Amino acid sequence: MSEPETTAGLGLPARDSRAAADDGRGNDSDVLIRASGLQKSYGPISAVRDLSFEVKKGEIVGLLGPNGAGKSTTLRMLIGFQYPDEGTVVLDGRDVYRDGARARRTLGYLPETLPLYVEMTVREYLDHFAALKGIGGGRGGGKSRAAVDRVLGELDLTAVENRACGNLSRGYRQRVGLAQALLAEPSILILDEPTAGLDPNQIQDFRRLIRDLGRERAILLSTHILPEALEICDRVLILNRGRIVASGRPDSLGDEDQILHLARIRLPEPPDPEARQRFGLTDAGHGQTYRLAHDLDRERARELLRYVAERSGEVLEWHVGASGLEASFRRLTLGEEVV
Amino acid sequence: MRQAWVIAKREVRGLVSSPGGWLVLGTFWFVAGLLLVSLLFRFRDGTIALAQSGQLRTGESGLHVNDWVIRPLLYNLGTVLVLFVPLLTMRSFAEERRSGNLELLLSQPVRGADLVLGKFFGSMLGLALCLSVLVVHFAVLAAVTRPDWGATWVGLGGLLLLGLLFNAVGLWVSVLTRSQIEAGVLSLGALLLLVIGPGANAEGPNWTQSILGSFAILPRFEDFTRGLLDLGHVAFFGGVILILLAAALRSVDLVRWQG
Repeated sequence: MSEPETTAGLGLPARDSRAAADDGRGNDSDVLIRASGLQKSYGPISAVRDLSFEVKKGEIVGLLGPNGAGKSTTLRMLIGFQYPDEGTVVLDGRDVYRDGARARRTLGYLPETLPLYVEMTVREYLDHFAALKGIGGGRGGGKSRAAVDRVLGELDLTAVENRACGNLSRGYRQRVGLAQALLAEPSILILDEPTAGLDPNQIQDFRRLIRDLGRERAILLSTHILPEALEICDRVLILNRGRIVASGRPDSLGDEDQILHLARIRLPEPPDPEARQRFGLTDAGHGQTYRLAHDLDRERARELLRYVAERSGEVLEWHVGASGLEASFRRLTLGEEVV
Repeated sequence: MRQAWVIAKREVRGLVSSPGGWLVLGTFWFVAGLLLVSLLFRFRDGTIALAQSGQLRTGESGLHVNDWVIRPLLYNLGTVLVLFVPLLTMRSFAEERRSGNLELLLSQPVRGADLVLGKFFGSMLGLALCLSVLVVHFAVLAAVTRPDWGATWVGLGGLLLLGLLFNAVGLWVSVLTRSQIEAGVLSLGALLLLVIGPGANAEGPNWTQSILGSFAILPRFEDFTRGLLDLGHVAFFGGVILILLAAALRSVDLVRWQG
């Protein structure tokens, strides 16, 4: 695998999307998702621009990006629901636009908001999708029933198998969605915001499950929860304005010096202009209190602490902010600079 | 094709498991019943009037239940379908698009053609459920009269073809929008245009009228209700249905381009 390129001016191990597609092809047969040169516009708005990447078997890749970055459009193009203006998607060796039905046999997809047929019970819903996936020749029967029993067990849904889908909690709905995705034992899983709306316990269960599933599959998941990406992803792609602006292991994106701080301080005297500029201090509104106009890196934060202490000032608030990944994410997607 | 039936089964299930579905079916059956009763009264009154004037004849030249009841019943039900088919088809694609189910369906190993055919078969079964009330009607008529069954079956076949054509229009329109209401209103408009539009009653030597007339639907349907089995009419209905389904399939593709 070649070393990732560096995104100009950002100092991050970011890959140009073409480069991302080119590297990591040590063993071509391991590549289960290959997106090449995807472009999609809605009228004059470019939603996705020249997007290329690969996901290998046994790899969990997180697609990160703010709202409107092009994550959903990308996922929709990967599953074949949406056609790109340009580019190709190959799932397990099959072109999803030319050989769609067969390419999608290898795919399990969980949309962000799972639409359920509310009148069906959980088992009936899964039976329906087993038939659509052609499990057991689509006639139901032994294989289909075995597949439904398997996913009901794996996702702990047996207790609610006869409950109407319309009466399920959000957590169970997500499980049913994942069960649907896993019915045909797909080699590829594409999950759109899989833990959105779940309670903390459910989130932990879901993340553990995804990690287990990722051992034998290629998993691409979109999320904007950065700790989730840190916890479960082997690699992340940060998407902004339809482009991959950074790619790499989540713990390698951003460096330790980019720990952020949110602070409010009180000084006996107004700070000099040089200090104002250096620390980005702005008036906080009441009596000699100041706050940061922007985040500071660890070194500059130490300097600020010294500055306050030397002037017998007070620290009213001092929050260690985001991780390195979060800092990188903010810089890449908002253009925020850490001074 | 197997997946098309899986989708069709789900469609029918969605219809019969919702109060709205039963409301549509029940109302159609009620309207069909009213039509039958009013036609039977008309038949009785006509018979009595002819008997009183001494003109009542039996046999081929006499009053016949097919002319007085079955033919107008089928013809009127054909026009009633203009109102009811949009109610059956408006959900099919529009609701799937709105809820996000279309995205999930198209992530399955299902071809676009299977999806469109599945929806069409589903609406066909919905139509069959609506028209199933005619079994009761014909059983009643068979008990008290002697219908010409050949003409009756041809007329019923014509009604089915007309209903399927309406279904295909409704499905196509339903692909084009995310709103059931919009789909219903647009389908109704399209069907009204088909049955009472300029082509419907075009006759005469004027060449534009004859071209438009060749696309008229109701005159062809009327021939079926008369018991005339014209294979040209069958081919016309079949061809139009296929064109509409192809248009629906193309529109699903369009949805995939637009997202």
